Amino acid sequence: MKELMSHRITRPLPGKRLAPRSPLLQQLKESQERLRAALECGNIGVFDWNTQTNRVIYIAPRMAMRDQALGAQEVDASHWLATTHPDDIARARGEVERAVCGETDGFSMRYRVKGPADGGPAWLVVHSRGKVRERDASGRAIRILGIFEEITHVAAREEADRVRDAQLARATQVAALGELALSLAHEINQPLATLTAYLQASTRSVRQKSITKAELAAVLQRSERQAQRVADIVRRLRMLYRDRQVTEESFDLLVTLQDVLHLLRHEIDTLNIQVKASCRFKKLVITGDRIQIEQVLYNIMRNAVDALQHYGRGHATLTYSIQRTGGRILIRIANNGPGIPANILNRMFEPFFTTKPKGTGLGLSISRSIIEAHRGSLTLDTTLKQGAAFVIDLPARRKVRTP
Amino acid sequence: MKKSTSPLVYVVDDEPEFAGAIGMLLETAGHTCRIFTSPRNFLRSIQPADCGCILLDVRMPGMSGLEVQDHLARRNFRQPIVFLTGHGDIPMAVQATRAGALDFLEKPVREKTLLSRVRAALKQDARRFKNAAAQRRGRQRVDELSTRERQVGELLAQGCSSLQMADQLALSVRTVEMHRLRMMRRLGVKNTAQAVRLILEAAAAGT
Repeated sequence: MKELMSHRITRPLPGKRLAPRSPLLQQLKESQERLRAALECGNIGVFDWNTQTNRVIYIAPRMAMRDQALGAQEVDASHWLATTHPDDIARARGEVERAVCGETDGFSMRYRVKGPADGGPAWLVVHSRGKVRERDASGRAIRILGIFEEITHVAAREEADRVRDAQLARATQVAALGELALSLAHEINQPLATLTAYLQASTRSVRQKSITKAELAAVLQRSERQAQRVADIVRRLRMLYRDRQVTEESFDLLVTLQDVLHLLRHEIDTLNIQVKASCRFKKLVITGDRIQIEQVLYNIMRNAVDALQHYGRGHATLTYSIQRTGGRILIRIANNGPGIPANILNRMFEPFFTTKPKGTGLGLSISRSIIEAHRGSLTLDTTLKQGAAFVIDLPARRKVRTP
Repeated sequence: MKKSTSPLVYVVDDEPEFAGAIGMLLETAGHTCRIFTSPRNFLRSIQPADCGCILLDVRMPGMSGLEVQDHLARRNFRQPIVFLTGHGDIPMAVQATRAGALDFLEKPVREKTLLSRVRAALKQDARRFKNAAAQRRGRQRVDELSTRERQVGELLAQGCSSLQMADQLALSVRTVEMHRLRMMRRLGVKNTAQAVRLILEAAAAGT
């Protein structure tokens, strides 16, 4: 289209030639001036296409149409195809065709046209928006009117942004992975170190004959628990990296909750945390990705347990309740720990935000995205005076889409 | 300095199971341990006169091992510190060692390494105690000197000969020599250099 405009303007706007002789002509002239101002200031061109004669009238300001004065020209529509980038022709033609045959009212599209022969970029990016003004009895467009503008620089900037965003996303991903690997290494190392020390101690005691069978059995049992912790971590790692697609299955939420509590049994026992449940269901089947929901429940329960870490023994309480209202299921998980400081409330769900010296800051952000993928919501109950509570709101049952 | 000097190994780690397991291992090697899962409780409990060494975790919630080390140093606690860390964090190791840590060990730690470091640490602390005790005894002996003996000792420390001392104290050389001999005997030293050291140390402790 740009190329079209680079032709010498052969027919200036009529208003330019005629002297204002009558009020009507005066009005016309003023109207022309307004149009010219609009086109010039907006740096846009106008086209008026008659599909029956297949002629197009272009009115364009100087724009990127480099050094062309505002003017109008009439060309054959086939000229348009000749100047459009071969890769864009099919798409652009399709858009126009849909408007012509009545499938759409008009079009808005970007495509590339040949740059001016005397230098500059080989291809210019043009954004063209057209609207059908008249149709014949069969519904085919007779006249399409619209505007076009050269947006090569905008498109270039968008492309640069896109590349930068992609690089940033990739860097973030790499950093996140590194962070995750580091935190996992630490998490695995901790029980491993304990296990090693237990085994060293028991080997020495057996050699020294300074341990009874019962004592040894107790140490071995503790060692096993540490090995189990490593296994749990590996299990969670698998959960994290298993196919990220949401698989849909029906499962009993209560069983999943019990599984999660089982994973945390070690910490709950060590810290002497009381677990209080309020749930009047024996079974509660929901639809969704069981592994992902399990991960969310784990993350939130884990946070609750961490919050109770330094709480007076016997007073630390983890409470969960499950309610069903209408088509929704509300899972509330609360702890009576120190609560969340007001200044970090709105950062809780940010990725990489953490208050734990050994945390990744990913738990809550991953959890929220999982719950949202299940068309639910994960929120923090901020009305509490003491402790903290998270609320998961999930649709009770969705139709399982059969592939 | 009224506490007993039987050496203790303090194990400070927020992970109770790990601390317990390490404690068990150390006990098989004949050490007596005290276990702390909270750095604050540990700092409240340890006394400068306690003889022993400290096995310190680096990353703990609330207060890091490096902060604990800093607290101890500022309070002039001298028990040797061996860091145990779950992270192979080199800058941290450098910082800790610069601040006087005896060693920086990575978890899981080898039994031989741990036990030999603990032995070395306890030996170092025992030396500290021996030195401290010797100094204390020396000070006490200097305090017990008579006025004349002390005067002779102080002049000796200034590098005076018996003749010069006799001159300054308006005594005969024989008398000076007698006081000097008695002073050496009371201080329990074999030569002049040892006597001078005790007197200077006592003077330094007195100021």
